[in-house]
Amino acid sequence: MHKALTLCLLGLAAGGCAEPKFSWFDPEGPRAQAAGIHLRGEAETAATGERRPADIAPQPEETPHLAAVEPRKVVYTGQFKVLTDEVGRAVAETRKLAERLGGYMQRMTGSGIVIRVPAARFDQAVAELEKMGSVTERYVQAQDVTEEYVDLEIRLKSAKALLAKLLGLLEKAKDVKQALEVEKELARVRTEVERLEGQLNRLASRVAYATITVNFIAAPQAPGELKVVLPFWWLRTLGLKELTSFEGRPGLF
Amino acid sequence: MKCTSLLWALAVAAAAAGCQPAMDLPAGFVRVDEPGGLHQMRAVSADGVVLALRSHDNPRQGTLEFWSEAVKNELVGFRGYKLAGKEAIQSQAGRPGKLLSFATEQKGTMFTYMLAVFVPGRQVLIAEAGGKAQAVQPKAEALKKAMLSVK
Repeated sequence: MHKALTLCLLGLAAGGCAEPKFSWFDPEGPRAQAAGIHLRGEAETAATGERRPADIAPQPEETPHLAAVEPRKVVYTGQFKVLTDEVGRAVAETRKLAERLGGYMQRMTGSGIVIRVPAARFDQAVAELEKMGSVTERYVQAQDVTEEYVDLEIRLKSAKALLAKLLGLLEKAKDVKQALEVEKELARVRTEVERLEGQLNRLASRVAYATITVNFIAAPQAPGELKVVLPFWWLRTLGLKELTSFEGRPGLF
Repeated sequence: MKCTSLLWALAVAAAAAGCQPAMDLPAGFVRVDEPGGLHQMRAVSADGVVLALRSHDNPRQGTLEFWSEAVKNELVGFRGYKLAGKEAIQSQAGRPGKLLSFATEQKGTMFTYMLAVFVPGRQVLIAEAGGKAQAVQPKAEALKKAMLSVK
């Protein structure tokens, strides 16, 4: 039984792990070579067609034909430079635009802003941004990450299956030494599951929300925009500043 | 002779007083005239809305269209106000005029500035009202009514 458990762990180490942690297992050693076990990452193993020991390691699923994956996982990003008369107001309006479209502001400075909007409303956001001034630079990218997404999903599924197998082995452990070895491997696979879940969540977020970076630049007055000051002095005294100042104290403005 | 001079003085004073432009005040406003100021009259509400009337010479007889455009261009072109509305009006005395409404923002607060222009011959009459948009808005109709009472 002890021998069987050891072989199982050997198989697990080779099947699901980049680096085995069992001290008694030499990946390049004669035992491993005799057993036909080579340590590789999961993807490589799948790519080379090598199989894990059938009795322990989860069978790798056939990678789905990526062209058939619908909907495609696409990350939309846009970067814009916009000339505008009022930079501060344009930044504030862009923030409101993001919120109106169901998104949010990610970063903001006095003249620039990064917003996230639902991917389905990316085109609408871009169209509305272009109304805020003259777009001088535009960079829009649609990055297809379907392959990366599917790969992460498969790796996560495999890691979870491996976790379940290890839990099964833990129950079968006959002594403390065996249990400790399995526990050690369990901890490593758990970490791997968490890492993959994190990666998948981050990628899913990038797919769900497009990222738009906008830098606003104050538009210089066009040379042709010559303004003639009319020769009626009192026109210069119109406005809220004069209207609301009393006893020499400045008014609202 | 003395009596005749006195009568003349009284007549001139009465005529001068009669030429002074004036308008009715809406409820809730108090006059705060400053002698020698730009305005013939000014009044304020407790929440800081200011209503005023001023007149300027129009020796070259610019028309109502001319002055309303000049006022609009000054405020929009040079001061950054945004034109929010423009309408033809008629004072209670039957004098045609233009009512212009402007909006502007200062440190995140919106302000409203209303301005009525009348051109009775060789004078330009300007009735103004303004303050924080949230204070002006509920009084807008009363302010317009006061501006139409210009005489």
